[in-house]
Amino acid sequence: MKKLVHLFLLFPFFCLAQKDSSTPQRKAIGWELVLPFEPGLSYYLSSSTNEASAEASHLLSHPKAVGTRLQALSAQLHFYDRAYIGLAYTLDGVGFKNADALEDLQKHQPGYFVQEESKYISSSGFSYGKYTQHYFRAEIGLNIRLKKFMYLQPFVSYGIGRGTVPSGKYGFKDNSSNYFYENSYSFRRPMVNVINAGFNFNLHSQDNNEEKRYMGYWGFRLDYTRAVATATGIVSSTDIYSATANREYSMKRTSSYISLSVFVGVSSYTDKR
Amino acid sequence: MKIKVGLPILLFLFSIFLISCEGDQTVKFRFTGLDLDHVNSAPGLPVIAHDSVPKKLYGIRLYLYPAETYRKGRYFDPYEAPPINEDPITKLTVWCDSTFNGAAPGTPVNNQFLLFQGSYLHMDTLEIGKGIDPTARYREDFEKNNFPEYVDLLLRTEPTNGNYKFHVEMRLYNGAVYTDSTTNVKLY
Repeated sequence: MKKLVHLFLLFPFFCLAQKDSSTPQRKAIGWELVLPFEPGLSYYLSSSTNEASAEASHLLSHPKAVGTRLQALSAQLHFYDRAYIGLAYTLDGVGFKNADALEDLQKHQPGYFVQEESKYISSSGFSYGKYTQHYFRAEIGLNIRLKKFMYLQPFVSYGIGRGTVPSGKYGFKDNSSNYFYENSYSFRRPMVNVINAGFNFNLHSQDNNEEKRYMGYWGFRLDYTRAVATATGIVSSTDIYSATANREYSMKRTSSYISLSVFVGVSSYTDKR
Repeated sequence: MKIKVGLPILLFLFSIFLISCEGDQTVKFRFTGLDLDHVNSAPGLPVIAHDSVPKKLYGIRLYLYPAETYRKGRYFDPYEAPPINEDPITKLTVWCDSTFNGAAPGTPVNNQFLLFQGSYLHMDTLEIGKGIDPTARYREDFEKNNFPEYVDLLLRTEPTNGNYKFHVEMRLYNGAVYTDSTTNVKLY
């Protein structure tokens, strides 16, 4: 895994070494605006929760989870010939099957038969299997011109935002008696901190004008993200004798994933040779 | 010319599309019988048991023999148009022919059972002198099997060890009365 991350991080520098030094460079302030929206897919490398939230971890993560990325807006300001800074609003989502969450919960409760809400109860108000986080990200990177209209932009970024954690209701039936109880899980919206590194690959439209340029471009982004979400949650329990109890606990969810997304945008800068 | 011919075809197809969007079935049924059996809830969902069951896991299964009486519409909608019971159960009484947890022989023991219809998230109490409203909507196969073939009464108390025989009487809205008894069961 470490080798893969090293290769991933070194790839931009490999490309930099390969570039033709005779190609012209940008020499002035310019900007790039990625048009909404930038769809993508994420592959979750790992996801874990702290001990305190283990009781509800089935709602938060699952090894079979598949993520989606929707970067609604990304704007970049380019300085001189190589550096740039950017701001982006990103929405990451994780989706997994209810059956996987149930299996996960059942595994952690061997003494109980665990049952999820009937799929025919549409007004339960619970959202199983969906975790989303949206955050604003500040990005700093390099402009590496591979060819005249082809750029590679390695970057690192930091973001803060909010998450939306699934809620759920499950029934637990004791295997050795008719005793049962139901748990309702809910969370307050977590704070999310994101560290992100990767690169953009851009291909700009060709233009013979050597001065001020407004160009369209498309590209793809490959990046590694490590996100930490912290929140408090409540489990409400009601048992066979109608006894109810509420328990509050803290949650810390750490996830790492690789995302690949595609985008189109417009840019403007002055090209001087 | 092409537009003149194409427009009516498009309108026709659009109408078909709109018509196909609605058409929930109206489905009605009624219960036509009653049979009892013992169940054991050890596997989670209760399964049929025989003459000896741990008292903590005991339950009674009521087979209700639902019969479809009416169905009209294009498709079954489990959310918006669940089946309607034409003759609701107005009264369900459970009793034992021996002393059961302090209840004298022949007196109702409804309050010692809970109604299980496929989901531990939707358990109901069984009140003396009242009916129940069985549904199949908590079961996985509700779309295929629209009617509740059976319900389970799970024992919520712990009687002393011994042999017991239970009786159930079910009264319907139309006046029909169905009664059945379990075989003797050893609760331990």
